Amino acid sequence: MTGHYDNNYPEEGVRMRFRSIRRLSAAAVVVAGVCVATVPSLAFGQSPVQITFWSWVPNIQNQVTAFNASHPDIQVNYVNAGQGETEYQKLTTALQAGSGAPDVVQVEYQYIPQYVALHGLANIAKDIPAGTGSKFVDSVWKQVSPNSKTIWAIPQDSGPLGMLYRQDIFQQDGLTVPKTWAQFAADAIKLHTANPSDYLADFPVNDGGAIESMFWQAGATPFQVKGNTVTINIDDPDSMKVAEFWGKLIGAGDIATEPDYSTAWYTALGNGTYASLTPAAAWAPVFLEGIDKSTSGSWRAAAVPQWSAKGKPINGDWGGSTTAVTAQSKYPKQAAEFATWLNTNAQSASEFANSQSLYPTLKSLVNSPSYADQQIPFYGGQEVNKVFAKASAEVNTKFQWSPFMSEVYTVLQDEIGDAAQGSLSFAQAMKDTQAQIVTYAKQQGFTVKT
Amino acid sequence: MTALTTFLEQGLTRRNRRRSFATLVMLLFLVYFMLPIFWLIVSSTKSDSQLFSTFGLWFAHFDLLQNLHQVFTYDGGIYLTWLGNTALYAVTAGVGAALCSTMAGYAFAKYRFRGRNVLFAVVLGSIMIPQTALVIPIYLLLSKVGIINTPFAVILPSLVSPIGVFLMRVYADRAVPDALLDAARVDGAGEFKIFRAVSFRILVPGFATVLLLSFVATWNNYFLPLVVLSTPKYYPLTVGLAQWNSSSSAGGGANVLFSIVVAGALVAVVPVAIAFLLLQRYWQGGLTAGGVK
Amino acid sequence: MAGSSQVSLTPTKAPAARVWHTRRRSLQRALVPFAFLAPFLVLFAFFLITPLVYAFRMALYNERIVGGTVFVGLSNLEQAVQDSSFYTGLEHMALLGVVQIPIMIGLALLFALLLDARAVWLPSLFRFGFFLPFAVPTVVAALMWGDLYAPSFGPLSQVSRDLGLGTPGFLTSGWMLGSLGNIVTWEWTGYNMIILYAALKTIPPEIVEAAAVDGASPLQTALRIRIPFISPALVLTGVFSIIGTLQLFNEPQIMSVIAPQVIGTAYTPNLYVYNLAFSSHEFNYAAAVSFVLGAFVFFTSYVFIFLTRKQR
Repeated sequence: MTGHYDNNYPEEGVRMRFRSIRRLSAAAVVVAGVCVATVPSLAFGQSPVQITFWSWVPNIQNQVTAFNASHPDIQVNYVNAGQGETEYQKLTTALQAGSGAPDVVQVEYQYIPQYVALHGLANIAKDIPAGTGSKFVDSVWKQVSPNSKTIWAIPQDSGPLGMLYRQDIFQQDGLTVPKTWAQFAADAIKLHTANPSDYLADFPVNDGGAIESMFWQAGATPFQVKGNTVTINIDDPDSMKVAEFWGKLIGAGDIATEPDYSTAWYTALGNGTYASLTPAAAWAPVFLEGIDKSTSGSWRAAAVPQWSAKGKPINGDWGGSTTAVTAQSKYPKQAAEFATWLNTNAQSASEFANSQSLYPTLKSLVNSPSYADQQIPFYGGQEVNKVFAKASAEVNTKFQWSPFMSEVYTVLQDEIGDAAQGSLSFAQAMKDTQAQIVTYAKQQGFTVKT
Repeated sequence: MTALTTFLEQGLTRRNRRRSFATLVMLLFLVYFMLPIFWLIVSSTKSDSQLFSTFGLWFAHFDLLQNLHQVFTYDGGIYLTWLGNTALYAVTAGVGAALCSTMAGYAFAKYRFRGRNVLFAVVLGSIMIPQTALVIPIYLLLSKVGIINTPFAVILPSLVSPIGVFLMRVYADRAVPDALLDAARVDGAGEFKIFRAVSFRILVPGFATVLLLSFVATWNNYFLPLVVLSTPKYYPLTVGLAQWNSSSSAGGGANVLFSIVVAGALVAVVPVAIAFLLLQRYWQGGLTAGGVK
Repeated sequence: MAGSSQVSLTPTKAPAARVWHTRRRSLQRALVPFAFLAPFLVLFAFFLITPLVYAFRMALYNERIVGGTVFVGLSNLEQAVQDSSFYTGLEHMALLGVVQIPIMIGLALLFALLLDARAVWLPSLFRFGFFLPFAVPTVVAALMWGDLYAPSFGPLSQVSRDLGLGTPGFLTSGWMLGSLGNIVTWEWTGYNMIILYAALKTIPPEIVEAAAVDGASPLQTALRIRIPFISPALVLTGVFSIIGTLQLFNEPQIMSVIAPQVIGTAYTPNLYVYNLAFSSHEFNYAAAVSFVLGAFVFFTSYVFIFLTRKQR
């Protein structure tokens, strides 16, 4: 594959709007930097390089402390600049203003091309050891490195899809674990008919990431990017199939449509209103354990239902983050060293996987007996990680993100939200999304193919 | 008490009957205004699992102390830092904004100068542009001056209170008689001395009201600190609590902190409520012309 | 400005040439108001006017992901004036404002009149209690009401179900404006009450007493004397409420997390501006839309002031 978001599309000097200001502030920073850098080095000979790191992973300070202890020449200062949207808003503002961004930043996979397009990230291909990529699961590495010359980030965690369900409720209602989506629909209707206040699952209309992961899992490739040319197929048959499938269930009221992570959603998951979490990303098992201990032992994990009973199973990714170096960093080499260490150091990666509820991306960890063979009491002693290890290997590597995913999510959520309210059909919502994104991409200067 | 004794002494006169009816209506509204606050108090005594599984408007298992302990110790006790920051921002911005507004409002009210009306119109007109438009420019400006992500980035913009200037102009217009100023001038006092020694004393109730309003506005401000701060140790309570609240939606690595957020929100409201009580002599007396009589 | 370095606020004691002295005095005189205004004006220019000018400049350019930044003149503003998403939000806010503002100001006026006329027992309790919601940050208030509104576990729904009235649809598209209006009313009625109450306090007691002596009923006094007297304050609260409503942001932003199907990206004009900037990365167009919004706010406030002035 050729480099899709290569560096040359913004012509030199196009951002003249901020140019003079940037120069001024750059000069100021350089002057300040010189003062800061020279004074201590005169006094102590060598002072560690200061690096700022934004992330919202809980307790990640542990890893940062360990890194600082073992790397006396680099001092990483960890800042929790907010979770998801909040952090992105700050990052975007800082990039727009030309200063204020950290050196190292947590970015989810889907937003990497976007921040590359906004000139926010540094290509660290030359700053990290050769062969780093081969340590990671292929589908994951492909998302951070479109080709061997460009590496935009180091993978932190991923979320191949599975399904988590309440075994007790399934037994009680005589449901079998669905292997296909058709069977899932039949189960959903059966359960809701038997218990009108309960649902087999919830469809999170607010969560573009979740919806997109299901398109991915159906084999859809909504975007193909090559240089400044973007092929947009949001309403291709694979995605349409997914949208209409859920649309039918939602229209009949057989599936709940509560926004995920809302208090109502948490409550429904805890009290058995939802008999399953479908789809469930690989980080969900540990996440679920944290929210309601009273249902411990009744949950089980299973593979995500497939669209076709025969053939090779396909999977998609939902969520998962990377560690990227920003274009504003004055120490990209050291920043890249930290990003690499954070995600490849055995101790650090194991802490992510085992105590920070993140699903690993290192091949060595995904398949290691100490991780895959863990029998988790919350799931009745099931080896849950094995279920997701299989899923991780099945993720469709043809899928690509567009360089404007936040716009895609926003439009998709608006349209699907309207469809869930019944004001238009799901098929129409998909067509509208396609049309709006095509217009947007053209406005942003891309050459658009459909 | 006194109300009760008067009531007993006078019996059910017509006036009292009317008064009781009005009080009853007001009590109904009081229930409406207090209901969410009552919910907040009740909820802050519940654990995460009870928060949404028990009836919201009555107590279940009483976990207030555990929740408060959590609030003040979670994440290395950063809540206390946020509380301190918020107090610092609100007090300095409150006092500063009240001072600037009082002087400016006084100038608009008591001096005739060229461009007065145009300037005043510009000041008032400026509040009509929504803050969302100014996010990027303000960020750019603050980073250019080198105070982005510092307490100054919150305090300095909060000193600008066009509404405070407006209120003080109206207040000074009515409360400070021109005759008094002229008398002081005849006595040979300079303008600034007149302001300090004569006018400001009269303006104190208005000053206190603007102080209170700016204090509360800064205490409750969310958007500005959210944009200009990125380091949690500088956050005020609103931004910190919102961050805790959103950590439940992080997906992988999510942290459910609802009960801490609720208890933290309750604690955040208490100092403002106390400020209301302490300053009520002023704001309940309000922007009265009482000083002159 | 010549002589500005000589601005001195303390009166000059040393007598100099008489003419020079008076001239200097008159110059001083002219500069006095600006000395009082200076602290405010400096901050105002720096933190409001400069960003405003900058934002306006932004609105004149277009920055694209591919192809960079180009000067587009007024075309962003033209596009914004014709933007149907913008008008959808504006319509919502107009509808909300027309219903909610009169209710809120009406209640605030009623409370203020009752309190000022000493027509209720325990006035301090009511003043404090009604004002207290203002102490709750809007972010927290919106979160609280969101939980109170929740259809499944929300206490309001539970009570309604227990009374056999079914589950109220606070968060449905039909009710959402009302639900938002309720939050705003809850937060700001007490604040407006305090402003009106303060204005009532400035009425010279002689006037009210004279009316009472003439045999006017309390209702007549309120309608004929007290309300007309405080009409500037009423207009003021009205204008502030119009501005606040048209710029509504925090409440719908937080409600959109709970009810994303109902509150889309353009539910209020300000939410639209925010999403244009941070989801679509169309900072220039966002700036243009916010100036059009500012123009609407200005226009509406002006019309409101004009209409109320005519009535007086």
